[in-house]
Amino acid sequence: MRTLAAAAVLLTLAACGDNIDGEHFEPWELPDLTAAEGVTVRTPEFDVAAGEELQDCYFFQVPDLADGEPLWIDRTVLALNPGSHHMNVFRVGEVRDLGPDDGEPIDLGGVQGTVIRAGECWNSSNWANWPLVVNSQQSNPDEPVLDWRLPDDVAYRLEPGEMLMLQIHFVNATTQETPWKGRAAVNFHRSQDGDSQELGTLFATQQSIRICRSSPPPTYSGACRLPAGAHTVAAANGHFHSRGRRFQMFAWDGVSTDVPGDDARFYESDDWAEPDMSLNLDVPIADGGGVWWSCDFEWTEPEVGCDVIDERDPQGANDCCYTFGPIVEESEHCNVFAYYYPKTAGDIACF
Amino acid sequence: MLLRAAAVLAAALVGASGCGDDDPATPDAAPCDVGDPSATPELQVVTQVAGAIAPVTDGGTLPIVVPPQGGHILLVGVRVRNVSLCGATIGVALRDPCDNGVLGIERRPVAWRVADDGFAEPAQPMEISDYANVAVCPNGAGDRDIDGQPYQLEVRFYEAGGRVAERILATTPTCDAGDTYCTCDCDSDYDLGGDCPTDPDAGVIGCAPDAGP
Repeated sequence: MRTLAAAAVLLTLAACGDNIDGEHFEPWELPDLTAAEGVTVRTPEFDVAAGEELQDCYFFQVPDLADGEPLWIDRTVLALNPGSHHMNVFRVGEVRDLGPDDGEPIDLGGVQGTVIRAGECWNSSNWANWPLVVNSQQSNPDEPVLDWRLPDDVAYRLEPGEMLMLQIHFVNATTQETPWKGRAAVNFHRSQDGDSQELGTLFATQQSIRICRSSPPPTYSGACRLPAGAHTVAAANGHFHSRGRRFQMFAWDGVSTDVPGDDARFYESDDWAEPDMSLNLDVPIADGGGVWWSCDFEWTEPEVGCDVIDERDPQGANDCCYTFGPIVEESEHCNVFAYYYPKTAGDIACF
Repeated sequence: MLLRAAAVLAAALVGASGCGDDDPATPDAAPCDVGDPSATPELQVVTQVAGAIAPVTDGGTLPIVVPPQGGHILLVGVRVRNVSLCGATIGVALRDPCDNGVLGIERRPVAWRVADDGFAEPAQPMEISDYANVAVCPNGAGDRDIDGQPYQLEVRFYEAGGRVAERILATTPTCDAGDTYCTCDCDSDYDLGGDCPTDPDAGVIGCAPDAGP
């Protein structure tokens, strides 16, 4: 299900790539889009020190490229240097403890913005009400670019002046490494063919998970309905950390409380570090239905030691329990990213 | 008396997942069986109020709470007897009886302790991970507000061997008085990322569609 992107995207090869420990990495470079073509966003290059995890939140406004009219985006190209754990783009909603006004100004290539490094950028409750736009977890050296051409007649709608937040997470530790520098980019390509169906997004996260040394391997599952009307899931990916063993998503009728059958499964991944973004899905969701997901975990000895894990445990169980959190080495996630059309109401967050 | 209470408490505390084994690393391991697993299971529905276990009554209200990760959830746990805890999970769904649709559902393993009355219950009542965390707001599917409207709560205890105990209750999820963040998030007219709706639902309670704009 990997995107065909890498071949399709212009990869401007540097005169010579970087070599570290015998590995070769050809730096990617996305084309700068004209106003007629779309919106270009580039983070600067930055160091990720050994043993460090960093998460930065870049804020920028959607430029007015269509005389005040919405921009319709039918192709997104996301690029990440190796070592990234994720890249998420959200529409900024209600600002609580994380907002653009608190950031330092930064040049993001095609747009100007602000950045908040670490701090409140780690705190998920800050973007609980912010609709997802797009995400990528693809940063392996052989395929650092995710190129998603939306289905025919489908496009995102972005409003001029709308505030977006690009969040990137890089890890240079034991479970993941950033062998070169950190860097990210997004190209939002404007639709040129009058797409008429708007893309909707679903972002869900399982609350209060625990993966403990003395427990049997746990499974957490949940489900979320889509707004009224029949829909089609076009793309999806799941996100957990290194204790994750299997991530599954199913089409769900919105009524049953039983796990849907295998015939309803449309996503399955056992790769926590580079989970596939399943593109070109064509999963029908009946009116009133939605998406069911499950995350299977298995406890493993932490590289950072159980003292560190126990320190984070709000229950103080002293059982080396991994709990919800963004730090790859110390905590766990069970997050769902799904993309559907047509969007008949607001985007969906299931927290 | 205090010594006896302490001894009972120590014996009653059971570890995460509630499964006893011979692993010395297992803290306060519990027996698999609580009561007589060959008898009909008994199941009581509970929630967390002020850090303690509180019963959920049929036709009563259920607090909507903000978890650390954000959003709004219902915390629903169980007290069970005559069951096998090992490998068991709990599942909780909030259903709209008006259209039979499920508005939130979660299934998870929890840790147990055994209370004086012989029921297994959430091991750490003051924490939220021993209850189902049912995400209900914001909710893109419902026609009615979540806050202040009657719904159906379905609570199940799944034994690893396949036996299921369940209770179905009428409940009204309820935001704290004056909690506008909650009432906004739980309004059926709220669009994610948008402004807070101002409709008062015109007093409509029940299966009539939200009368707001």
